[in-house]
Amino acid sequence: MFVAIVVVVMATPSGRVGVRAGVTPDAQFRTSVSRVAVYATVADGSGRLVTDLTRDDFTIRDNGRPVEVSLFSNDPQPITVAVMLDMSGSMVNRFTRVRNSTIEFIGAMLPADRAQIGTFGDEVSVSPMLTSDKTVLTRVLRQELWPGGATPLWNALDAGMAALSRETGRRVVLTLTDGGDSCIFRRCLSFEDVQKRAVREDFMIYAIGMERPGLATEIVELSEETGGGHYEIKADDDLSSTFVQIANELRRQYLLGFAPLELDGKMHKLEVGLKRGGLTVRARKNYLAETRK
Amino acid sequence: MACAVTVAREPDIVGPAHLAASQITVDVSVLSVTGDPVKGLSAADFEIYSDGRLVPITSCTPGPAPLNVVLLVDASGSMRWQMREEDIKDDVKDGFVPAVKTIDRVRIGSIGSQNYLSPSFTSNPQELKRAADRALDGYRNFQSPSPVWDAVYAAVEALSSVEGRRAIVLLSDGRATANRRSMEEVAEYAARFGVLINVGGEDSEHYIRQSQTEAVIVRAGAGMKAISELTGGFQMEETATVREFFAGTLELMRHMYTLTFEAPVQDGDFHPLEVRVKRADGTIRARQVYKAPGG
Repeated sequence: MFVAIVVVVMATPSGRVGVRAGVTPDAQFRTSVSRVAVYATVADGSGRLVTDLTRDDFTIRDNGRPVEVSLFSNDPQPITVAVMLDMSGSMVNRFTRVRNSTIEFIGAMLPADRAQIGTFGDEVSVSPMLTSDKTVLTRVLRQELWPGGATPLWNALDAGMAALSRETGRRVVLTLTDGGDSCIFRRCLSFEDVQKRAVREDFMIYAIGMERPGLATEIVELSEETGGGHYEIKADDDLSSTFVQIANELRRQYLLGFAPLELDGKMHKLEVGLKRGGLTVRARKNYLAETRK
Repeated sequence: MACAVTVAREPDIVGPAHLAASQITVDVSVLSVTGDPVKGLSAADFEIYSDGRLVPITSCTPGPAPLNVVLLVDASGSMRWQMREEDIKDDVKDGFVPAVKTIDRVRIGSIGSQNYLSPSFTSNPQELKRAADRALDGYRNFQSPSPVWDAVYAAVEALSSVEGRRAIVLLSDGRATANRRSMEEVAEYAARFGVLINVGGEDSEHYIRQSQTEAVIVRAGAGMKAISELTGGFQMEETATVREFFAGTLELMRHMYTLTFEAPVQDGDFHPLEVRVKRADGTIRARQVYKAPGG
């Protein structure tokens, strides 16, 4: 169209990266009263994803008691993610790198994937559009990133969860930050607030930490507790490849389900295990056994 | 066809003319070197170029004209460093509202977690002050995002149904976030309805080094300025106060000329527009694009 305006002068992003195709959008499943959904990531000793396991390879314990794996899928999973980018003052010299890597991440999305872009610094903002439209997402990244401010990390994660709260299926909040929370707003959430919400409402938290100082221990704990992941990036590391690694991991997670033994309205400890040796599995470590309404 | 000539007293404020769909209206400001509106010009003093081609001016109406205005104040988190809640309320109530004339029609809105726009156009000072209070309550919502473009889009939509001179006065730092509408979409929408977008706010430039060989220049206000220029609006001068910007902008807009011309093509598309004034001492400001009827 005729009207063209340039607002911010910045570097041009480099090429796109490729990811595996073939997701099945209807393979998503979310915890209900009668069945609990668990997404599991399995890797071998060298960290490579293992994607050929069967239902019988998994074990699940609910508060220490074995339960039957009544649902299993190793179909590629579509991604529903809120990407929360740290735009605080300490991130300004990584501004281009963060923006361009995120644009590459968007470029690598498959048609069934959907993302929502958010930022935190002077403000906490989340784009109102959860979409697979790469043009829209790229426009947001090019027009709506403004460096400066503190690091309201917990408020940002809460905003990311709120943005996805009406979604069904696996809901991922991915944050890229260089440190811990330093909220200066009137209403600042605590780690415990965010932890409670993530666990009770079944959000999966991923975190990418930029060095100096890197990720705080709380967010590492949160990502592990929710079955997500955390990655530390050094100054010269390829941030784009980390984004792609996360995307691949999310697509290749196993979907497991089981019927809870007791609906007591309490938090239950959850242990996902493997019968094969030499592999590691990551999955959320607890769930809320909601009572029937 | 001839425009009014200089008169001893201010001409009466005239209402909007009703035009055929093929007639395009352009609001034009001509300022002297001192920044005052140049009065007494006629159609013969202007030239209009559509797609680079000279087109005949079919009418020329001098100011003062009634204004249809939406005032938008950015109340988002990033603005907290620029203005205190008490100050901005006072600026609206004691600076903007008194500059509104009884023949004008105004709505007041704010930009934040949830954009707000007062429910109806009015020139009643008390109603406008209440609207300002309502719009700016909770101004210090530190965390809130800045859906500037969505707010401007809604303002254009509100103005699209009124006739006459249509304008938005936008006070923001330009750090737009959480928008459904893109900047380009909003610019096109404003151009379609000939809405003047006047912008004020700090337009600081940040040069941020990214590596040994790369830097980034961030100018949040550049987008607002670009839209203002595209639509023929005014921009707040660096030395001006917010009150001066409010009152001065209304006054300058009131004294714009309204030119009309017949669209040379009726393809429903946007066309570049240039208005010239045949006076060396005048600075002209007019929208740079129009949407042709038809298509």
